[in-house]
Amino acid sequence: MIWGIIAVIGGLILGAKAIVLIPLVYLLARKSKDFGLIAYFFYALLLMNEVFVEDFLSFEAVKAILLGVLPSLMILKEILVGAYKFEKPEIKDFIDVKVGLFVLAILVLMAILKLRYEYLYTIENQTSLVAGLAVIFVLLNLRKEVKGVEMFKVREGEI
Amino acid sequence: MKREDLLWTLSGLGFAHGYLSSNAFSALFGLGLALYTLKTRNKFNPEVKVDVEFPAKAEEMKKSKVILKVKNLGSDVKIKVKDGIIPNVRIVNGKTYILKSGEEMFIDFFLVPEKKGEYEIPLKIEIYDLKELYFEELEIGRYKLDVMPSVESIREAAKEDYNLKIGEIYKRSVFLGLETLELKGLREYLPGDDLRRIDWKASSRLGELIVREFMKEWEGDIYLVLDATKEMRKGLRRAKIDYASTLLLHLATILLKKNYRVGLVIYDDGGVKIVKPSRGREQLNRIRAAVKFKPEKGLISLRSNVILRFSEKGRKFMGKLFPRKRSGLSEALLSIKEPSYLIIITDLMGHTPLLYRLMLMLKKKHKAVILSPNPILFYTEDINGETLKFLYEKYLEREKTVRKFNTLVPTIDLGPSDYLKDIVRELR
Repeated sequence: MIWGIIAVIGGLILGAKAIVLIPLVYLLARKSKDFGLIAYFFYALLLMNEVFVEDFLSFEAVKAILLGVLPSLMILKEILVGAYKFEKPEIKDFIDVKVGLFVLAILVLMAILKLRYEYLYTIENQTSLVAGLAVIFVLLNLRKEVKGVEMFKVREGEI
Repeated sequence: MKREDLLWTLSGLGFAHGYLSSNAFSALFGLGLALYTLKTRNKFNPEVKVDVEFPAKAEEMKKSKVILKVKNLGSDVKIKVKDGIIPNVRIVNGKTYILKSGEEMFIDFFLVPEKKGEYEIPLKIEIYDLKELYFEELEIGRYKLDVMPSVESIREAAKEDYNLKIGEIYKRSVFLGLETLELKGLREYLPGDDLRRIDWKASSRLGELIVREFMKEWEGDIYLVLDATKEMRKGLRRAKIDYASTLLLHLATILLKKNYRVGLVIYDDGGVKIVKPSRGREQLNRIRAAVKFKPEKGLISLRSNVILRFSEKGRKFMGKLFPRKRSGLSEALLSIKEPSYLIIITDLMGHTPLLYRLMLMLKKKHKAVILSPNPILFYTEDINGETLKFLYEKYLEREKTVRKFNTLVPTIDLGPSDYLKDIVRELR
């Protein structure tokens, strides 16, 4: 719930009206995780439509990540995990070397692009670069087969 | 669609939106979500070690405890014992337990076998990650369980058997009239006769079983109770109501011929129609005039549970929303003052819980018998593999209902081919 409040404040700073959906997301998630996820889906779509960042390597981008992306992902975590209380997380839980290296690689590539080939540094190209690298990274790391939980198959309270 | 797929879709939409609307924020969001989902997926490592303490024997409808000793060797998970593995054995208290990495826990739950017999139970657990995006099913092993019949079920079976026998007698003999102590005569024993009626002296004298027959008292009124609810009126060629009303008129004719006082109660969804008991040809005309129905369109529904659909709270709420008068049927049947004979013709599909409760009350005062046209045997639509399976399931469900009623009053299941002639001939 605390991340919900942070997301509302962040959304106000970023000027996103999508935050009105946050209480709805939490309420629906209490009823059923699947309804919560669907509400979250629409919240995320609205948020993406409302917050605008022109450059990956800018203060705007850092602000958007800290006030928009991070709280939104934490809302997702809160609605998925539910009322279960975690113990205080340790720092090693957050550190993932592979992900860290991947993000660093993106940043370095962006910086090279910005400094050396400025005519190529358009928003479309930045986005394509990130999307392409993300797809490759995800495909390389989908190591094992796991069964996914179907939506609306698990009755609430069963788990 | 899987929960995980929704997140991947959202992530992909983020990238697409970022490219099409020239917005880096969407791509950042998509990237964040993709990395988050990937991390959750890779973190899910279900590995548990399970020791089982399983009971070898159990009693029908009684709980028997199973204890699992679970050690989590993988990531943090939620564990739940899988229910509905085999029919006739329920799992009670199948709660979900959260098990952290390295933690050990005793999980206990109960098995409730619904029928006696020997079962081989494949125990399974479902392991979910804490976010419930992924799961794994683990079979722990197969265990044998011998289920003994419970005392209640034996008692119920005896009672049911008794009522079935009485049902046979109803079919075979002049079936109405309280018996007096006045002896009418002796006759040889026929299967289904009450053992208490055997005249042991005469039996030993003649070398075969002889029973005493008593004079019958011809006084009690007879009520023919006909169910004319929606379900009975459905059907294109062979509506159950046609069959039931013909049966009713035949019965009425024979009973009136024998000079009984015959009354009629017809109930439907709206209310109840009563013809007071009386004798003679005029009464037959009155009954004939009362038996008129409007055919109902639609397919036959094959529900026949005695279980009430709403919870107590739910029913109270519905009662407030749709205030209803006391049901006409219970009013009509409970207002019969003299001990009488009730011949109830119903398919046990409409007002079944109410009828069950009523029978519980009425059997103390009246004698009753239920003649029940079996809706499955009246099914006239096309039959293919799927409907056949469905009908079979419904048939079993109905068998259960009929058995339940049979513990209260004799219930005779009828099909369209058991035709009236036979029944009427038996009654003669």
